Amino acid sequence: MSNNDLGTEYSSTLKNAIELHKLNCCVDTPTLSKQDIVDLQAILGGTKTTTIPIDTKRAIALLSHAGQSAESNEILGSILANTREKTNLRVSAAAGLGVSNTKAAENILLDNIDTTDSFVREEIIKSLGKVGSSKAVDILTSRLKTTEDQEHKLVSFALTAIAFREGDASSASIPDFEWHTQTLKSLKGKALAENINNIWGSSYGLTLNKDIGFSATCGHSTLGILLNKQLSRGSWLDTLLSQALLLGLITAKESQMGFYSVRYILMSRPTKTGFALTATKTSGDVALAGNAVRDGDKFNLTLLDVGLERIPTQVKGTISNELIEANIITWPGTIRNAKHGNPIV
Amino acid sequence: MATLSLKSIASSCLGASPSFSVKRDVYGYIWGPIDRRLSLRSHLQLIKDDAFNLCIFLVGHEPGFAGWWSQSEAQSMQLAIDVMRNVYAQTGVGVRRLFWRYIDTNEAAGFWSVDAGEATDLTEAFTGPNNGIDVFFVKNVSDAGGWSNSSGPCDKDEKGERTGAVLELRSDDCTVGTNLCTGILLAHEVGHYLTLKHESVITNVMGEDADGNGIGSIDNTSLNLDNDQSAKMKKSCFIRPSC
Ligand SMILES: [Zn+2]
Repeated sequence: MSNNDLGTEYSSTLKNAIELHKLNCCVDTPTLSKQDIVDLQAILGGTKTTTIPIDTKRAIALLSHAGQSAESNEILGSILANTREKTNLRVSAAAGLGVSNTKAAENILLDNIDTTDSFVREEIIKSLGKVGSSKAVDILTSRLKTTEDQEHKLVSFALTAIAFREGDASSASIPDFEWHTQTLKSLKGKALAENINNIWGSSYGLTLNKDIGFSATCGHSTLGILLNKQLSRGSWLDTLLSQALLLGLITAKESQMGFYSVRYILMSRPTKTGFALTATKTSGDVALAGNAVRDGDKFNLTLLDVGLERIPTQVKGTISNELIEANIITWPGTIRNAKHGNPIV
Repeated sequence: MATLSLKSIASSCLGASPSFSVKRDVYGYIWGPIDRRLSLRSHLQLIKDDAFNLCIFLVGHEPGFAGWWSQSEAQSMQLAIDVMRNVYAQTGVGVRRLFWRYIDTNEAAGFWSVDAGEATDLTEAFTGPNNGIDVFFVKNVSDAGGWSNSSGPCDKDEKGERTGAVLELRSDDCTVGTNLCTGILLAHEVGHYLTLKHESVITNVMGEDADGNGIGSIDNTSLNLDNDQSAKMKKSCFIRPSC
């Protein structure tokens, strides 16, 4: 049927790649001949017609990946500049210019950065981060003052990428987050006894040590680090190095309820170089894991979270027979967690 | 053949209350009118046995269609699912429950248009109930028609891996009014999720990979699934037990 065909003058590769009834399921970059690229440019540029409709977004993506040239950039540019064109086509053209390896792409992107469509603008900024040069810096910098949230983040990152690419790392704004370090506090006397005596639910059969414990704060909650009674000052290394142990519990104080819930179970076992440690959630999922490795007469401890924590966390410390010292180091930036969206009922 | 009681299947398979609506509670179509392809009888038969659940995310939706999506686009997604149901019906695999969810425009910032890496970010940041296959509809996929794992992990909280299919709703569908092409694309991506690989014939929903480079082609005739594929899919961890 002739009405199910782009036209006999086009190659089957090109037809497969852009006919509306063909679908691209995965990556989509067939190798085009020179003639295919000329035809594709002519179709998207409007100088050549097709007998049936094409999948324009797919054609734009194809031209961006397979046909990089000044002519192609110009065609992508006119799609990008056409404010009556569909947003997704303009976004795809902006994305396409971001994979172009030609200088002209940057000028086209800069010419269109004031477009009122925020989705198109964000894609232009992303692309400038990929191909922009010092020429884009002033324009992007001036936008920092007027943008917020999503666009502001994209502009800052684009400026950073440009600065590094231009060999001017001094002006690159590398995110200046610092890990937050908190030293474990010693927990003893009444406070330790109160924590131990008010654990809600099981203590996993442990008799807890009333001589030594630690506390830390975690967001709004206070954690208690309670140890097995088998560990006693002056000899706990000998215990840790000789047997696998349910080492202790980490509890969280339930605010205004006067009790402590068990959050993690600490376990250890001897290794060739010292001992291994894990902090496991009550579900059995390992949350933090690491090792204590011998360094003279003490052991250096490192525990890393394995991705279940909402805030990236590590624990570093030293253990000798007399002293246990440790810092909890947390990331103050974005909290990671799986979100579940909202049900539609 | 044993008689299929609508009431008992609705309650045991779908958890529907005694006063349920067939369209809404049995088919899961919540977005207005639709011409279903599968008869109620066939649909019930399919969802009772080997079947999977879908969790469909509208990325950038707001109640009252105040976000990135219109009502007619939501209806198109529904049509696409109906196309997919018909494709999978050939192999005796049912699409049992549809969990519709949305990500508001604020939370969806940065995901209006996604590339492969951003598709992974999206599925890493959001997951639906663990017994359904997550399908994310975004407004634009800049470097493909959709992205999916070639075999979906059964723990959707796995990190650094795409744990769902990310699709665009084609704005110019290849057959107007039926959303055939979005439906085929959806069936294809979910097929990957259920462990299927590209095939050698264009009329198969998994398409042809003529030069064996892993890149498949499909078109509006890619509607078939065969018995081998059916057997493979039925072993996937996403296939729910009979109900
Ligand atoms: Zn595929």
